Amino acid sequence: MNSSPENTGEMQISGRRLSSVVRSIGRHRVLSVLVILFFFPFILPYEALAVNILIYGLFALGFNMVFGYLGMLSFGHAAFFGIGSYATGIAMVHFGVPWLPAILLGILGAGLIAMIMGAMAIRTTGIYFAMVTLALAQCVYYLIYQMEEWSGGEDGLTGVKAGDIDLGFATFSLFDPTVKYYFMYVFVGGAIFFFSRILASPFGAILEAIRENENRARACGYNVSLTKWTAFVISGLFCGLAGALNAIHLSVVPIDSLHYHMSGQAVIMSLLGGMGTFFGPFVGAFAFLMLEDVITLLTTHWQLFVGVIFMIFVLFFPKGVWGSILHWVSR
Amino acid sequence: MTADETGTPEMLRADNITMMFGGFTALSNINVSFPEGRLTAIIGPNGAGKSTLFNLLSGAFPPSAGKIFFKGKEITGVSQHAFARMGIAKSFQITNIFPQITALENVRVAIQAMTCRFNVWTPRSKFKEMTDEAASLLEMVGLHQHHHRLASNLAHGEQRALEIALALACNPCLLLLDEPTAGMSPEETSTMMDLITDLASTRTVILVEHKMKLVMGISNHLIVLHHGEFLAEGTPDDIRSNDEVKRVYLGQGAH
Repeated sequence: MNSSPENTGEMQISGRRLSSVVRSIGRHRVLSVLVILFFFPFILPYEALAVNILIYGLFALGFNMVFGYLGMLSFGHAAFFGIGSYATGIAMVHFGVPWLPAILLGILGAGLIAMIMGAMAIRTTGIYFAMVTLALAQCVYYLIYQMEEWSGGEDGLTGVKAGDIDLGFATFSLFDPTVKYYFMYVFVGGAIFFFSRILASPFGAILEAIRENENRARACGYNVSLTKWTAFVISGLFCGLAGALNAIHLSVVPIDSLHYHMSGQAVIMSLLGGMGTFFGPFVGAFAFLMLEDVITLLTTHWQLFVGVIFMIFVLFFPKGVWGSILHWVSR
Repeated sequence: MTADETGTPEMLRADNITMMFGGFTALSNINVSFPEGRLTAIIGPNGAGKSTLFNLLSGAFPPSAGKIFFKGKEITGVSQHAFARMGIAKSFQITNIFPQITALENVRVAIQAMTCRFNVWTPRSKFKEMTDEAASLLEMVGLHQHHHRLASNLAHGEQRALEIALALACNPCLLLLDEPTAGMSPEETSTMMDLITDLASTRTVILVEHKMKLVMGISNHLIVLHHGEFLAEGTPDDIRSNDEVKRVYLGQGAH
């Protein structure tokens, strides 16, 4: 137990040593995930994949607040991701707003949509919640699709150029993929820190309580609907940031970022990584995007294989990759 | 029968309440009053409407007709969480706790409901007074050795005790308990009865119970329901000697 974590790579992996490493990762969750993500670009074959994992990890993290911590399956989170992208993109392309306020607009836009969707959906539960959120998100999709002048319709919104990032003391070019990664890293890191604070806060305690026993939470004096709605909106803000960053990353906003396929990806990533765990979303995003990347090299039918792997996980490892590790450690 | 002969202020009153589920009348025209500081037991055979009355009085759902007053103020149709915030707490018939959370955190989150509902920033460990209060509540219900056990790993009797602690977390002036000894062993039952007697010394308690013998010893007042209708009320002695009660209720045990 007294071995330092960095030695574990060299020595023979014994169960107890490994589990102590996993436990200390859990204790310093923000620091751990920041350190791991910091070295990501050196580990992965190319930076664009690393950027994708950051953005999709953040998307799944936001989604996990509703799915993992509140236990409600939303199929409408594409709306928050997409609106985050479009609000940022439209602000930059049509109004010449600089990148930072544009990102804020993306977050706020997603929050606004989450407020409206949440107000309509939050009183439903189970499959009805999933269906209502799905339907509302599709409404958003067609609305944006029809607003061709602003959104570019089917072709998506092109020309989202952040260009150079001038911080006063130095200028960075986002055309350099490594710079772009660390640009995203700052935002995602901040979001992860904030997310962790929420989970550790009294509000996070209420989320746990509601997931554990809604009736009891109500009898204790919690307004369950209002709490769920608030969590839904917070979740939307995180997904909105992910969308905003994706707009800058791709320099276009594809209409697909609003499609329900996007919502499905959040579900798959959360389940793959481990719903309701702090690292799960990033582990899931990593697993999903790596699988996609590797299998695409072998065959164009990568979705078939990802689907099979996904099914294996749902059937045999319902806690996901990280959830299973935690379970194994805590035995 | 709503008049209170002793003159103590009234805590809770149900005025002519009726509850229908579809076409079924679970309760009809019930008038009951609960004066401050009294331990009232609501008893009756299975299907008497005890749990329905309990749910109406504790705010789980509003009555189909009639009104409910708390300290003289009408509270009919007020939401469940508002009941708790007014100081009306309850424990459920089927154990209702937060299973995958430790006993201490169970109580802490219940205490937090009264003071801190939308803080998303300060770590909850910073609220030391809440944790201390939770610990003292756990001690009160006899769970001081189980702070860090998951609620789901506690024994049945301990879970029931934990639920009482959850109910006490909002510092209620009115405590409603629905069959708090359901499924308990005789030892657990007697511990629970002692606890309830203890709690009743400082607050108003309404106890719903199926087993009449249990409540005879501890309650000041009993209300008997039968087939969703009011049958009788009075002191334990009154009820014991009431012929109608004997016929519908006590008679069952005489076979």
